[in-house]
Amino acid sequence: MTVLTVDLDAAEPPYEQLRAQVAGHIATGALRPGDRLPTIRALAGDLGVATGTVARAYRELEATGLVTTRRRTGTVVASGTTAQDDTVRSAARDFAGLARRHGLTEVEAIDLVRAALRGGPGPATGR
Amino acid sequence: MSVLAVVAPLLSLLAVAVPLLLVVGAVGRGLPRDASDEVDRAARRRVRTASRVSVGVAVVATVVVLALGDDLPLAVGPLGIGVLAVVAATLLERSWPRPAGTVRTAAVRPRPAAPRFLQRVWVGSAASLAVLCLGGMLLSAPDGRSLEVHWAGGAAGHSPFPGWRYSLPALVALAVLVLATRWGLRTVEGRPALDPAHEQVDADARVTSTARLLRAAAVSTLVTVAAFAYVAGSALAQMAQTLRMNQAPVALAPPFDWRQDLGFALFGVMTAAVVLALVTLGAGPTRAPAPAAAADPVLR
Repeated sequence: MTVLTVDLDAAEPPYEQLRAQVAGHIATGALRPGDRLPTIRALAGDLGVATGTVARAYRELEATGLVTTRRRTGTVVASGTTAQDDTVRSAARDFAGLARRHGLTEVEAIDLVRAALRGGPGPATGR
Repeated sequence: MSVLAVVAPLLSLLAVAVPLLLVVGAVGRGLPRDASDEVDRAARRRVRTASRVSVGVAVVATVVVLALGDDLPLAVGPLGIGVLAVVAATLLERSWPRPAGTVRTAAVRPRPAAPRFLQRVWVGSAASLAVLCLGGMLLSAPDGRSLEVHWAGGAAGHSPFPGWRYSLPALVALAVLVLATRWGLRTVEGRPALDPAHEQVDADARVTSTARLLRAAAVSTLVTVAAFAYVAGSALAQMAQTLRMNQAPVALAPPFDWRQDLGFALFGVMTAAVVLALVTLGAGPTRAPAPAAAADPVLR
């Protein structure tokens, strides 16, 4: 089952956490084109956050073309989106497992990936 | 007029009492009692409580309306009862536990769809009642409660007739019922889901709650449609007869007498509304379709 988690104590705002996770699920193929997302009210109710938080996450996803919102069908994964190549996906899964084994938090693991993508040596995790 | 004055209130009483007694049985349905653990049991208990409380509220309100026995409370009574039942069910829906803690998780799955048949009946019955009320207001005499025809040297009148005196309060009550039902449906949609292990019971509870709201709203509206159609149809058919018997110049011969034709058509509407109300009481699933196979988690 595809799930979304929000940490209200995290430095990252809840809407960004949601946006990043939905984008990640689309990239990994856990959410496929045409899959319906919960309504704003439903997801906000399940997570106990304001509807504006979910609405902003959906708005940003829509702005990047990952989802589309229509009156009758609600918010669905856009048809143009495709999951990443199997090799990249597999590497991401391997990296996630490695990060977990080394006790990295999600934020630290993502910071490493971000730094690697920008060509730097990566942040010091202190571990 | 004298026979109608006696029979109409009696029929109105029956029109209110019989369907609402049936509501007691139908709306009071909960989920089956085959609970697997405490979370499951608690969810089923909440559904049962909501059903029983909304039925209890409807029964008490029915007794009050019948005790008042006046024409206006009888005209808007069913809609008022519907509003109270919907509000009671909605308030109880808000008592489900809310997410706690700083780390919160939700499954990416849409809510189960609302029962389509009940949705259509609710929208259709509300539209029909609005049309009946507007038509009644257009045709009624200035007093808002009778049908009158005047011609040179004579006049004829029949009452009761759903003019503005009954239709205006009914339209206001219908608007309140629409708003209350919309609030109720939104509350059910936004109610926090149970944990993923109880996905099916969560979906069942949600579908049952949605069906309860739609059923209460639709049946109370259909009862009003039936009552208004009967009263208006009787007045129109009797007016047609009176005009012919008095050889009024405005009298028309069947089958081109629009008053008589409209009266019979309204009897048809009344019959259809009663049948649909009875069908609606028994309609609506209490179980959601089984959830689709869950996708594998990837990173979480």
